[in-house]
Amino acid sequence: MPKESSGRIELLQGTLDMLILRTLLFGPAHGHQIAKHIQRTTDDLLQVEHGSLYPALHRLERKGWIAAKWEPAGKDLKREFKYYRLTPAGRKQLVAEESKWKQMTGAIARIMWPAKES
Amino acid sequence: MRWRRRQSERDLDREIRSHLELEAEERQEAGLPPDQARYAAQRAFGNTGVVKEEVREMWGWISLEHLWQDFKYACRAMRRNPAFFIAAVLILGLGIGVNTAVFTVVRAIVLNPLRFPDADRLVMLWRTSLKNASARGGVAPADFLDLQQQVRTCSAVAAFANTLFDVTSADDPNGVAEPYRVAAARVSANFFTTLGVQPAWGRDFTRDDDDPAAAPVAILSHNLWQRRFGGSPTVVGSRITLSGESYTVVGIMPGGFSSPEVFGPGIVPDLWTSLRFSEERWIRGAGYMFVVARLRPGLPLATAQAEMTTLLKRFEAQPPVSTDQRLILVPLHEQVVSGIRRILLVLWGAVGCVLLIACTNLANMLLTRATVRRRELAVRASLGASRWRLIRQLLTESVALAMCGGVIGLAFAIGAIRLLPTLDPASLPRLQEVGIDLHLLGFGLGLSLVTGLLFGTLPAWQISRTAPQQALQEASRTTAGRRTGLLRAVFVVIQVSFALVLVTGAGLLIRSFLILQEADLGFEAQKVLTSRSRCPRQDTNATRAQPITKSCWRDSSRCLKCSSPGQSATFRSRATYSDGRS
Repeated sequence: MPKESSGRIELLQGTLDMLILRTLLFGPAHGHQIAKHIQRTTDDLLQVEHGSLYPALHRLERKGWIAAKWEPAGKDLKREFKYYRLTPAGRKQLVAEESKWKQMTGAIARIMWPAKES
Repeated sequence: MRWRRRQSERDLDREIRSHLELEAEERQEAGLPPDQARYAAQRAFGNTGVVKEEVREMWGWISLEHLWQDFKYACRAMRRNPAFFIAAVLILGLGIGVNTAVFTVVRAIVLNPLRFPDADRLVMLWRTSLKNASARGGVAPADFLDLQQQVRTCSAVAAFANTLFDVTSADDPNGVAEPYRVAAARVSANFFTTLGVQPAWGRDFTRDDDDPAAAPVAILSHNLWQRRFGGSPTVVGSRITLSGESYTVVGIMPGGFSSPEVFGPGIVPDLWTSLRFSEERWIRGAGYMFVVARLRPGLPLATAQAEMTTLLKRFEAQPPVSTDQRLILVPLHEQVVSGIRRILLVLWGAVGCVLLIACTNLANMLLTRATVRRRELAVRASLGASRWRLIRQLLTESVALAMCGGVIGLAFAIGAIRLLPTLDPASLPRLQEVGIDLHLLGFGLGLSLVTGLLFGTLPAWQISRTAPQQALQEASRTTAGRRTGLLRAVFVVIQVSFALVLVTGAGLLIRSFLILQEADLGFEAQKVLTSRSRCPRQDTNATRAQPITKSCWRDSSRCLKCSSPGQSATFRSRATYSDGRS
């Protein structure tokens, strides 16, 4: 559901996984926190539909890159959230995706702005 | 698996709900009224149903993908080692095959209810004495008729008496066509309705047929109808001559029907006639009628048993008085299968042992192979395969192996079940109910799966324990080797002990057989021949039958003596050592 009028950018296919892994590098977080973090750090520019986060989270969990556990939220113990945490395999994956992303953006940049590059 | 799925489903639900709540709270704090806040949270989230569906799809897809990968690895591993593969599949095929075959037999004969509606309410009634409870006898006609009238706990009481008839065709009174003998039963008019079956063609017996003055009628079994009458429907209404008396065929039983084999396996009437009590109607005491009854629904056997005891007391107030007599009720199923149940269960245990031996044998083979495969697994582990993933891969391999064995086993089982009737095992009742069905397939495949997991789990666990770096350096082979060595020793011990159990059992069986063969019968059995013969009786009325029977025996005795001079011949009403098929 693109909403170009609001000035937001639709997330590129396949990048969400990387963003989630990167966010979890700071420490365990639940789905809502991850969504908020991505929104806030990009000043609401990157538009992540909250719902689309969950298939990605579950996929990463199945692949063994993140692990999940129900834990009470920091302040009140009555409420539990499903906290996701980066696994060692996930860390490796993040490094791999990051370098892949860098290569890709570099390649795109060379095509888009050839003068700057040379 | 299903349970885990539901668990994940609930988990996802809870996760999404908590997300929406949190978002709504935040929006409320920002100043929105509660319902609008909730609405906004939902909008930011997107379509909950679609999200859930996406997650679900992903669950299924990933596990399928893994399974397929494991399966591919398994096939590759098997192709690399065909000798192992063939040996394993043959061992498994044998184990699974005999187990499936024996299960099919046990299920059809022992576990399945008899093929009558509400068969669990059918009971047999026997007369026994307190002194000798194991000797069971029939009920006298007069007692049966009184019982039928007075009993409250049974909705129906029927009687039957097995007999034999010589069949000659009615339009062939001179006996030109070869006569033949059929096992038959005289039955009370309500016999079939008590069992809950109806003739497929024609009619059932009616109360009028039981009248001694009524015209004699007969009902044929499907088998006899097909075998002797070519399945022609015009047989109904035609006349046949049974032991010299003319009967009208009034009905034909359906194909699946067989009388309960209460007299032992294979003793199944092919023809039924009505009772038509004449003078025998007044006989009391020990009798020759066998009584089958249907308990009223919901009544326990003990209540019916108590009633029988009181009824018998009432009968015995009339002469002849005997005080230690009892009437006992035996569930019909129990009656039919009790003789064979233990033997079949022992057989089942024995083939179970065979399968367990096969399992341990294979587990051992897998462990031996593991030393060869350690490098391969170590490479996989160092490339990022988790331990669980490795175990799963090994398990998929063993299950795939077991499934291949299962297919061989199923072929074996189907062949064995097909062959069973041609072996004509004299001790198996309900033999015609043993057949190939979906249960056989299901049991065979299920057993293969369980077998695969059984012999695969321990080796998989053991193999995957090896740390990858160590295995790659091949430095720690001795320590890992010692552990698998211990496990292998345990397997060998299990294998040998089960084999010992089987060999001991088989040995004892053979010994008993040899002892039986050498047993002293009290006479010289070598030169004795026996033959079975039956002289026609004109009537069920004993007094009139006697002269004819006597002269018949005298004639045949004379015949035998002159045909083989110097030898002796003698007659007896029952064979001295017979197989019980009379």
